[in-house]
Amino acid sequence: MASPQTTQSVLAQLEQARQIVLKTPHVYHQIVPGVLGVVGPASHLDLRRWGAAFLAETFASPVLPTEQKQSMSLLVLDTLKGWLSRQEERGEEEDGQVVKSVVQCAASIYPYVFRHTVHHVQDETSWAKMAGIKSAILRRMDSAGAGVRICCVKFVARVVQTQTPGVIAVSDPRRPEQNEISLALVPREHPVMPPSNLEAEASGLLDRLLGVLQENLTDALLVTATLNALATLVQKRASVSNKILTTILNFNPLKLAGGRMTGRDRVAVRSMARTTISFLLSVLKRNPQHQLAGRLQQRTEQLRYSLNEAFTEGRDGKRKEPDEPTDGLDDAKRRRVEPPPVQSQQQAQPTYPPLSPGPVTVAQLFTLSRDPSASSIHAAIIPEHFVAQLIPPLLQSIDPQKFEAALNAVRARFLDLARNQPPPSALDAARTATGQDDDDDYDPSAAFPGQAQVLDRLDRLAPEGSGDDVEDAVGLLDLPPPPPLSEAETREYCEVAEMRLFGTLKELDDQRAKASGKKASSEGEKGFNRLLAIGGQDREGWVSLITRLATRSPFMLGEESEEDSTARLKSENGGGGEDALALKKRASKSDRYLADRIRAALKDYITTDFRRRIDVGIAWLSEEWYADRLALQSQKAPTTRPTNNYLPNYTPHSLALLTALLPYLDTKDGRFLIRLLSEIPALSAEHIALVTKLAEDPERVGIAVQALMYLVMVRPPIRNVCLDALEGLWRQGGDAKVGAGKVLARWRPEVLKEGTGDAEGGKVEG
Amino acid sequence: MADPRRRAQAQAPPPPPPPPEAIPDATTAGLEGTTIPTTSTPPPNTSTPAGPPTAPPFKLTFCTVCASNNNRSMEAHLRLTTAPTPYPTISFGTGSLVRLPGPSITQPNVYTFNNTSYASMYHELLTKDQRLYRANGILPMLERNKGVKWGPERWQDWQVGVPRVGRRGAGEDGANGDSNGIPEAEYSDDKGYSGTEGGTADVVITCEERCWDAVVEDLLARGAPLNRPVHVFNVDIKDNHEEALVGGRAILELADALNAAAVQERETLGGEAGAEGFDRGVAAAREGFDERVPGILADWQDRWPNLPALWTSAWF
Repeated sequence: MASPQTTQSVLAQLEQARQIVLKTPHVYHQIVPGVLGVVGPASHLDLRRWGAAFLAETFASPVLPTEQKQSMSLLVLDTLKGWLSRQEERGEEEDGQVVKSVVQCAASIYPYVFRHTVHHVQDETSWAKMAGIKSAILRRMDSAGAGVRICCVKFVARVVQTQTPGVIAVSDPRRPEQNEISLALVPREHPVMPPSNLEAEASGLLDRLLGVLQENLTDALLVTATLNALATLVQKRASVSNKILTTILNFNPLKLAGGRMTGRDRVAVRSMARTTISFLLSVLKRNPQHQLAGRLQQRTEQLRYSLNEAFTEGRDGKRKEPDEPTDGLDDAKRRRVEPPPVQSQQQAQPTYPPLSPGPVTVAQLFTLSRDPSASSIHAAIIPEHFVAQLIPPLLQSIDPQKFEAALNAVRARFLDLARNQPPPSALDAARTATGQDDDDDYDPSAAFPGQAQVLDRLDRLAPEGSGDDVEDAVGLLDLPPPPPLSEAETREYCEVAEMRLFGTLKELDDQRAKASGKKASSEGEKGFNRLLAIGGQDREGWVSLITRLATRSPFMLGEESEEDSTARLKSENGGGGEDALALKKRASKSDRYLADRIRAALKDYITTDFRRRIDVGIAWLSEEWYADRLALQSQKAPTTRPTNNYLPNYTPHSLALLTALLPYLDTKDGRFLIRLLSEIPALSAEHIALVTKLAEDPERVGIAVQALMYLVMVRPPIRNVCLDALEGLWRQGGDAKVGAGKVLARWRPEVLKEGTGDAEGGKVEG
Repeated sequence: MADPRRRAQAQAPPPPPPPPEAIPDATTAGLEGTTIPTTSTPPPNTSTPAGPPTAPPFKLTFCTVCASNNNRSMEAHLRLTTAPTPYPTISFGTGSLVRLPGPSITQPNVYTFNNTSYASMYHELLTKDQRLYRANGILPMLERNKGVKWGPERWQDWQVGVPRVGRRGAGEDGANGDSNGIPEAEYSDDKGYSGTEGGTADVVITCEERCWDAVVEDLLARGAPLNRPVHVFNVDIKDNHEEALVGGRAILELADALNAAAVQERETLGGEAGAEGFDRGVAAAREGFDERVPGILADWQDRWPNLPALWTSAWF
């Protein structure tokens, strides 16, 4: 071994040589062989380190032409192999730095050796040497230090890239060197490297690479290095890009997040998540039309969000936001804000004098103090900036209880005023305000100047104490009620309304039919947004509007007027009550008229094309059911749950719809029947009876039994009724017997036993 | 504004800058190891007892990146190259253009990357409104930058691995020098040149998350042809002179920690000294440099909680 001094001088010479090739790249092929002789596996550690780094740099250099790299790559194979097999040859592990550089260098030369072998079929040895280097590197991939491991990962990515078919850009066979190096260059009958073996190897290695992501969720160095190395494969190798992307989409870099993270964990989580985001975004940016674009986008946002969430909780670098009260703590906190016992409040609370009878000013209304000197001060004389300065500290020092009490006192006074002094009509108000101005005919365009004048005067008169009559002037504006609609008019309007409602629905249907070719219908709004979408041209929203008009508009009107409230109103209010009642009745009648017309129209609408409009039926019946339940609940005492199964609107309408549909059901329409029966909110024996009736038709017995069986299986509340119906069918022994028997065999085997016991025997399979 | 402080720092290390310029003439390695013994005689030998007596101390190569390659990255560049142990450093900007504050927020002074020198910007602003640009710290900043390297370089235009030797940008459009007639300089005139000849870096430190994103995305798009690992850090620094100073100090500290780990790895895992080094090494030292990076960053983050950091292990 050379002495340190000589090593240093050799190193200095080598560094000088390096400076020369950096300046003049074309002399690389003269320098490299010389360097190889000095830095071989037998030389001093520092020389080996330098040599390996130099070779890695050389073959990575973008200024060195690829032809030169390819020819030189064959020269260095032995040296690389020697470094890697130091363990076997000299019994000591090679230095990590050297191995790192060697693996980098091997990754760079692999494609060149590959291409050399493609074109030089006779040269088996070079490829064999390269294969030896490859297996030495793969052996290290799982055991070496992290620094070496990431370089191994990159090497493997490079091998996969080389041995997976790429794009042949230049098909001119005379210029093979212009093509990207990939499996596509290898002829099918290559004696040294059969393409199928290479491809299989690449596929295995890719799995190993992806395995790194699946197994090492906590090692940020390895994970980010792997992700960053995979990017090239996704870009350049279409055949494997989807596989890689799917793996990365399923990779969860936030696995470490949550709970108590150490500083290192935080760095790791952020690093992995951000690298994943960058990776996905770069794929997206390269190809916005990517078939996985939607998922890439979604995953990126999801990662961003979870990362943000993980770190606002863990306050990484940023100040933590104040905690929201959680359920457990909330109670303790709320207790403080609760008002103290009523007694003390009453003690502390001063009583306020009621208002003097007769007209009062705004000032009087708000004056709670009984001290005449305080109440005589005109607040307007205090300069504004004093007020501005005074108000904030005053507001802060006010006892909230007292403030509340004072507010309540004023509120009470105000209500008293409103109750005791029936407001004068608008005409009076205007007259008082404007003096004896008679300009009161309501013509918006003509009235504007006058109105402005009125308002102006009101404004000027507004300050307290200036005029009692003005306060009276600003009363409730009562327009005379419109003349009641006649029955015929009501009907007419209802019909028009209904026509227009369904006209719009038809348009929307047409639109959807046109659009369905282009766009998936599932893009409609869901849930509550459906209602928001009413304003827009959306069929779903429109259907909800119609169904609600039908079910909710007469809500709570009809029922009350027909029952006990009738008597109550009559007895309490005398003549006036009767008048109100008549109005109410009429209103409810017309409302019901509209509702019933809509319902009838809905029924027709659904029956005309029930296969496509079954959803409307379900939505409608659900609304009916809901409205009925609400009505039931509000009628009864709120504590007792309604037990009555009969719902005044839902039951008849659902039965009517079912009756209307049944004749049209075809033998193949079983799924529509099942959908309807399974999705409408309540079923009763009557519904089942209708379905059972369907079984009388020998052609449709199948769907009836199917529907019943479905209900038995998934709607336990109605199971027994259905089973009874099935039992009935079975006993009748018609066409339904076999089907019914199958269901009964599972749910009521005793009936079948009974049957076999009776006489007929085991025709029915159990 | 921040200039006086900067000057004070710049006064301490004046000895290091001259030697790099002298090296090309000296024709030797051009590593710090050869220069340090000449300036201060034996300390390096005592500082690396395990290594061979005259071995040059190992140093990571750094690359600092901000938006315009003017304020934050240049402050860090200066700090890294004027530290007691100066690091080989290069610096870049990721923006599309060099933007410096102008008379109002809507009137920035805009320059192109790669072919405008700090000196020409300096002269232009000096003639435009000396008072304004002196008061807002732009002129002092450019003055500092002039002393560090020739002009701002754009990350996306950087050809990684192309040797940084000879004249800067020579042969690109034939013009040697920028529009204002400032001649282009040799790469070797840059501060912290020695060790950057290979045109690569071991560690990239960006000064803003946007820049980190740009760098990572750019590296992904380049397809990693060099197969060379690089640690890409982000240290979030606000773009003003004061924060740049603080950030520069923090970056130097991070660089010191990283470099110490790298040096330790080389000493501990050395082949011949490997066995004993392994036995002697504490647990942390047994880990290689790369795997210690997350831990080093976490420790650093604890000390600099106001500069949120980010990191990934990428490829050139």
